[in-house]
Amino acid sequence: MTVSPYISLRSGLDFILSDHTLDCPRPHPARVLFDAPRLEQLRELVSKIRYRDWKVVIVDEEGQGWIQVQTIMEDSQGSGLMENNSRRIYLCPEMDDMFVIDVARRLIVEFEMHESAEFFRMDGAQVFFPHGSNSQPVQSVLSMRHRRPDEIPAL
Amino acid sequence: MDMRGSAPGAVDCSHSLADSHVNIPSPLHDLDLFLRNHQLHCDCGSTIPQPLPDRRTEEIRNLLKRASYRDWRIFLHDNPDAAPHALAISFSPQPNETDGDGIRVHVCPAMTDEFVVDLLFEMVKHVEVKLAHSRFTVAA
Repeated sequence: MTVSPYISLRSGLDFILSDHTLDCPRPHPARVLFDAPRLEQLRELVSKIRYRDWKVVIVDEEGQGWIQVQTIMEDSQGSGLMENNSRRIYLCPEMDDMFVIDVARRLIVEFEMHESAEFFRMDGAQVFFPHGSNSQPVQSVLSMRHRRPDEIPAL
Repeated sequence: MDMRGSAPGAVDCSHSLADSHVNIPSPLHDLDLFLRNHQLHCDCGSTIPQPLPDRRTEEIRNLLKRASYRDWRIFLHDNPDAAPHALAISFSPQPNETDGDGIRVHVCPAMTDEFVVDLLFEMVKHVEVKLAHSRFTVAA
Protein backbone atom coordinates (compact mmCIF):
# COMPACT_ATOMS: atom_id res chain seq x y z
CA MET A 1 0.00 0.00 0.00
CA THR A 2 1.43 3.39 -0.99
CA VAL A 3 1.46 5.99 1.75
CA SER A 4 0.28 9.37 0.56
CA PRO A 5 2.46 12.31 1.57
CA TYR A 6 -0.74 14.30 2.06
CA ILE A 7 -3.39 14.42 4.76
CA SER A 8 -6.81 14.53 3.16
CA LEU A 9 -9.34 17.27 3.85
CA ARG A 10 -11.91 15.65 1.55
CA SER A 11 -15.44 14.82 2.63
CA GLY A 12 -16.38 12.70 -0.38
CA LEU A 13 -18.24 15.67 -1.88
CA ASP A 14 -16.33 15.64 -5.18
CA PHE A 15 -16.85 11.89 -5.35
CA ILE A 16 -20.65 12.10 -5.19
CA LEU A 17 -20.66 15.04 -7.63
CA SER A 18 -18.67 13.11 -10.20
CA ASP A 19 -20.91 10.11 -9.53
CA HIS A 20 -23.88 12.33 -10.33
CA THR A 21 -22.22 13.56 -13.50
CA LEU A 22 -21.73 9.98 -14.68
CA ASP A 23 -25.35 9.02 -14.01
CA CYS A 24 -27.06 12.24 -15.05
CA PRO A 25 -28.90 12.26 -18.39
CA ARG A 26 -27.99 15.93 -18.80
CA PRO A 27 -24.60 16.79 -20.22
CA HIS A 28 -22.16 18.13 -17.63
CA PRO A 29 -20.50 20.48 -17.04
CA ALA A 30 -22.84 22.20 -19.46
CA ARG A 31 -24.75 25.05 -17.92
CA VAL A 32 -28.02 23.63 -16.62
CA LEU A 33 -30.77 26.08 -15.75
CA PHE A 34 -33.41 25.67 -13.06
CA ASP A 35 -36.97 26.85 -13.17
CA ALA A 36 -37.76 29.38 -10.46
CA PRO A 37 -40.18 27.15 -8.45
CA ARG A 38 -37.56 24.39 -8.05
CA LEU A 39 -34.97 26.85 -6.82
CA GLU A 40 -37.54 28.16 -4.33
CA GLN A 41 -38.18 24.57 -3.16
CA LEU A 42 -34.46 24.07 -2.65
CA ARG A 43 -34.23 27.31 -0.70
CA GLU A 44 -36.99 26.09 1.59
CA LEU A 45 -35.29 22.71 1.91
CA VAL A 46 -31.90 24.06 2.93
CA SER A 47 -33.52 26.54 5.34
CA LYS A 48 -34.45 23.47 7.43
CA ILE A 49 -30.84 22.41 7.83
CA ARG A 50 -29.61 23.04 11.35
CA TYR A 51 -25.89 23.19 11.98
CA ARG A 52 -24.45 25.36 14.74
CA ASP A 53 -25.30 28.94 13.73
CA TRP A 54 -24.24 28.37 10.13
CA LYS A 55 -26.45 28.96 7.10
CA VAL A 56 -26.78 26.87 3.99
CA VAL A 57 -27.96 29.02 1.09
CA ILE A 58 -29.03 28.55 -2.51
CA VAL A 59 -27.54 31.10 -4.86
CA ASP A 60 -29.37 31.85 -8.13
CA GLU A 61 -27.00 33.05 -10.82
CA GLU A 62 -29.20 33.77 -13.82
CA GLY A 63 -31.00 30.46 -13.45
CA GLN A 64 -27.97 28.38 -12.47
CA GLY A 65 -28.34 27.11 -8.92
CA TRP A 66 -25.44 26.90 -6.50
CA ILE A 67 -25.26 25.79 -2.89
CA GLN A 68 -22.95 27.37 -0.34
CA VAL A 69 -22.34 27.41 3.42
CA GLN A 70 -22.06 30.84 5.02
CA THR A 71 -21.01 31.65 8.54
CA ILE A 72 -19.41 34.25 10.72
CA MET A 73 -16.58 32.76 12.73
CA GLU A 74 -13.39 33.50 14.58
CA ASP A 75 -10.47 34.19 12.25
CA SER A 76 -7.68 31.67 12.77
CA GLN A 77 -5.10 34.49 12.54
CA GLY A 78 -6.69 36.23 15.52
CA SER A 79 -8.24 39.25 13.82
CA GLY A 80 -11.67 38.65 15.38
CA LEU A 81 -14.93 37.56 13.78
CA MET A 82 -15.07 37.34 10.01
CA GLU A 83 -17.54 36.26 7.36
CA ASN A 84 -16.45 32.90 6.02
CA ASN A 85 -18.04 31.12 3.07
CA SER A 86 -17.48 27.65 1.68
CA ARG A 87 -16.81 27.07 -1.98
CA ARG A 88 -19.92 27.16 -4.17
CA ILE A 89 -21.16 23.86 -5.54
CA TYR A 90 -23.21 23.72 -8.71
CA LEU A 91 -26.63 22.11 -8.53
CA CYS A 92 -28.43 20.25 -11.28
CA PRO A 93 -32.22 19.96 -11.63
CA GLU A 94 -31.81 16.16 -11.69
CA MET A 95 -30.54 16.18 -8.09
CA ASP A 96 -33.29 15.20 -5.67
CA ASP A 97 -33.80 16.69 -2.20
CA MET A 98 -31.83 13.97 -0.43
CA PHE A 99 -28.88 14.44 -2.74
CA VAL A 100 -28.89 18.20 -2.06
CA ILE A 101 -28.97 17.56 1.70
CA ASP A 102 -26.06 15.16 1.30
CA VAL A 103 -24.14 17.81 -0.64
CA ALA A 104 -24.80 20.32 2.16
CA ARG A 105 -23.64 17.88 4.84
CA ARG A 106 -20.42 17.08 2.99
CA LEU A 107 -19.79 20.75 2.31
CA ILE A 108 -20.04 21.39 6.06
CA VAL A 109 -17.71 18.48 6.89
CA GLU A 110 -15.19 19.77 4.34
CA PHE A 111 -15.44 23.25 5.87
CA GLU A 112 -14.83 21.85 9.37
CA MET A 113 -11.75 19.92 8.24
CA HIS A 114 -10.37 23.04 6.59
CA GLU A 115 -10.84 24.92 9.88
CA SER A 116 -9.15 22.06 11.78
CA ALA A 117 -6.01 22.70 9.76
CA GLU A 118 -6.30 26.44 10.39
CA PHE A 119 -6.56 26.05 14.17
CA PHE A 120 -4.16 23.16 14.86
CA ARG A 121 -1.01 24.59 16.40
CA MET A 122 2.50 23.58 17.44
CA ASP A 123 4.10 26.11 19.78
CA GLY A 124 1.18 28.41 18.95
CA ALA A 125 2.00 28.42 15.22
CA GLN A 126 -0.02 26.95 12.39
CA VAL A 127 1.73 23.95 10.80
CA PHE A 128 -0.84 22.64 8.29
CA PHE A 129 -1.75 25.11 5.55
CA PRO A 130 -5.08 24.48 3.81
CA HIS A 131 -4.64 27.19 1.16
CA GLY A 132 -2.77 26.99 -2.13
CA SER A 133 -0.38 29.57 -3.49
CA ASN A 134 -3.36 31.38 -5.04
CA SER A 135 -4.92 31.46 -1.53
CA GLN A 136 -7.73 29.16 -2.64
CA PRO A 137 -8.65 26.30 -0.25
CA VAL A 138 -6.93 22.99 -1.02
CA GLN A 139 -8.20 19.44 -0.53
CA SER A 140 -5.17 18.11 1.31
CA VAL A 141 -2.21 19.32 3.34
CA LEU A 142 1.37 18.06 3.28
CA SER A 143 1.98 15.67 6.17
CA MET A 144 4.75 16.47 8.61
CA ARG A 145 6.51 13.15 8.05
CA HIS A 146 6.85 13.73 4.31
CA ARG A 147 8.36 17.21 4.49
CA ARG A 148 11.89 18.12 3.64
CA PRO A 149 13.91 18.80 6.79
CA ASP A 150 13.82 22.55 6.09
CA GLU A 151 10.00 22.45 5.90
CA ILE A 152 9.56 20.98 9.37
CA PRO A 153 9.15 23.37 12.27
CA ALA A 154 11.62 22.53 15.02
CA LEU A 155 9.91 19.68 16.82
CA MET B 1 -24.37 8.38 5.89
CA ASP B 2 -25.31 8.67 2.26
CA MET B 3 -28.87 9.96 2.25
CA ARG B 4 -29.63 9.53 -1.39
CA GLY B 5 -32.59 7.23 -1.79
CA SER B 6 -33.82 7.83 1.76
CA ALA B 7 -37.42 8.77 2.41
CA PRO B 8 -38.02 12.52 2.21
CA GLY B 9 -39.22 14.50 5.22
CA ALA B 10 -37.60 14.93 8.58
CA VAL B 11 -34.12 13.47 8.57
CA ASP B 12 -32.27 12.60 11.73
CA CYS B 13 -28.58 12.70 10.91
CA SER B 14 -27.42 12.36 14.50
CA HIS B 15 -26.43 8.74 13.98
CA SER B 16 -24.74 9.25 10.63
CA LEU B 17 -22.30 6.51 9.81
CA ALA B 18 -19.21 6.59 7.69
CA ASP B 19 -20.82 5.75 4.37
CA SER B 20 -20.44 2.16 5.46
CA HIS B 21 -23.00 0.77 3.03
CA VAL B 22 -21.76 2.50 -0.09
CA ASN B 23 -18.36 2.82 -1.64
CA ILE B 24 -17.88 6.52 -0.96
CA PRO B 25 -14.65 7.71 0.66
CA SER B 26 -15.38 9.09 4.10
CA PRO B 27 -13.14 11.24 6.26
CA LEU B 28 -14.20 9.05 9.21
CA HIS B 29 -11.96 6.35 7.73
CA ASP B 30 -8.89 8.57 7.48
CA LEU B 31 -7.59 7.89 10.99
CA ASP B 32 -8.05 4.11 10.62
CA LEU B 33 -6.25 4.20 7.31
CA PHE B 34 -3.46 6.29 8.79
CA LEU B 35 -2.92 3.82 11.65
CA ARG B 36 -3.27 0.79 9.37
CA ASN B 37 -0.58 2.23 7.10
CA HIS B 38 1.67 2.59 10.12
CA GLN B 39 1.07 -1.00 11.18
CA LEU B 40 1.87 -2.26 7.68
CA HIS B 41 5.24 -0.56 7.73
CA CYS B 42 6.08 -1.11 11.38
CA ASP B 43 7.36 -4.06 13.34
CA CYS B 44 4.69 -3.51 15.98
CA GLY B 45 2.12 -4.91 13.52
CA SER B 46 -0.69 -4.98 16.06
CA THR B 47 -2.96 -2.75 18.07
CA ILE B 48 -1.61 -4.11 21.36
CA PRO B 49 0.11 -1.30 23.28
CA GLN B 50 3.88 -1.59 23.03
CA PRO B 51 6.20 -0.53 25.86
CA LEU B 52 8.16 2.68 25.37
CA PRO B 53 11.53 3.50 26.91
CA ASP B 54 11.34 6.21 29.59
CA ARG B 55 13.30 8.65 27.47
CA ARG B 56 10.88 8.34 24.53
CA THR B 57 7.91 8.69 26.89
CA GLU B 58 9.36 11.96 28.13
CA GLU B 59 9.99 13.19 24.57
CA ILE B 60 6.38 12.48 23.59
CA ARG B 61 5.12 14.12 26.75
CA ASN B 62 7.07 17.27 25.81
CA LEU B 63 5.88 17.13 22.20
CA LEU B 64 2.25 16.96 23.31
CA LYS B 65 2.70 19.98 25.56
CA ARG B 66 3.57 21.99 22.46
CA ALA B 67 0.47 20.96 20.49
CA SER B 68 -2.86 22.71 20.80
CA TYR B 69 -6.23 22.87 19.11
CA ARG B 70 -8.76 25.51 20.15
CA ASP B 71 -9.58 24.84 23.83
CA TRP B 72 -9.46 21.08 23.49
CA ARG B 73 -7.41 19.00 25.90
CA ILE B 74 -4.71 16.54 24.95
CA PHE B 75 -3.95 13.78 27.42
CA LEU B 76 -1.15 11.29 27.64
CA HIS B 77 -2.20 8.08 29.39
CA ASP B 78 0.49 6.02 31.05
CA ASN B 79 -0.01 2.26 31.10
CA PRO B 80 -3.24 2.29 29.05
CA ASP B 81 -5.30 -0.89 29.28
CA ALA B 82 -2.92 -2.02 32.04
CA ALA B 83 -0.05 -2.33 29.57
CA PRO B 84 3.13 -1.39 31.45
CA HIS B 85 5.31 1.36 29.93
CA ALA B 86 2.80 1.91 27.12
CA LEU B 87 1.28 5.26 26.20
CA ALA B 88 -1.94 6.44 24.67
CA ILE B 89 -2.94 9.89 23.50
CA SER B 90 -6.44 11.24 23.73
CA PHE B 91 -7.92 14.44 22.40
CA SER B 92 -11.08 15.77 23.97
CA PRO B 93 -13.23 18.72 22.89
CA GLN B 94 -14.44 18.95 26.50
CA PRO B 95 -11.70 20.82 28.36
CA ASN B 96 -12.56 19.17 31.66
CA GLU B 97 -12.97 15.59 30.57
CA THR B 98 -10.33 13.00 29.89
CA ASP B 99 -12.00 11.50 26.85
CA GLY B 100 -15.49 12.95 26.49
CA ASP B 101 -16.42 12.89 22.81
CA GLY B 102 -12.75 12.49 22.05
CA ILE B 103 -10.69 9.59 20.92
CA ARG B 104 -7.77 7.56 22.29
CA VAL B 105 -4.89 6.10 20.27
CA HIS B 106 -1.93 4.01 21.42
CA VAL B 107 1.56 5.27 20.76
CA CYS B 108 4.03 2.91 19.12
CA PRO B 109 7.74 3.22 20.00
CA ALA B 110 8.57 3.49 16.28
CA MET B 111 6.43 6.62 15.77
CA THR B 112 8.63 9.62 15.05
CA ASP B 113 7.88 13.13 16.30
CA GLU B 114 6.67 14.07 12.81
CA PHE B 115 4.40 11.04 12.77
CA VAL B 116 2.95 11.92 16.18
CA VAL B 117 2.12 15.47 14.99
CA ASP B 118 0.36 14.04 11.90
CA LEU B 119 -1.43 11.60 14.19
CA LEU B 120 -2.62 14.42 16.46
CA PHE B 121 -4.03 16.26 13.46
CA GLU B 122 -5.78 13.12 12.17
CA MET B 123 -7.30 12.70 15.65
CA VAL B 124 -8.57 16.30 15.64
CA LYS B 125 -10.04 15.80 12.17
CA HIS B 126 -11.72 12.58 13.24
CA VAL B 127 -13.38 14.12 16.26
CA GLU B 128 -14.44 17.23 14.31
CA VAL B 129 -16.03 15.09 11.59
CA LYS B 130 -17.86 12.98 14.18
CA LEU B 131 -19.13 16.14 15.88
CA ALA B 132 -20.22 17.57 12.52
CA HIS B 133 -22.24 14.45 11.77
CA SER B 134 -23.93 14.55 15.16
CA ARG B 135 -24.76 18.27 14.94
CA PHE B 136 -26.17 18.18 11.42
CA THR B 137 -29.97 17.84 11.39
CA VAL B 138 -32.81 18.69 9.07
CA ALA B 139 -36.02 20.01 10.66
CA ALA B 140 -39.36 18.49 9.72
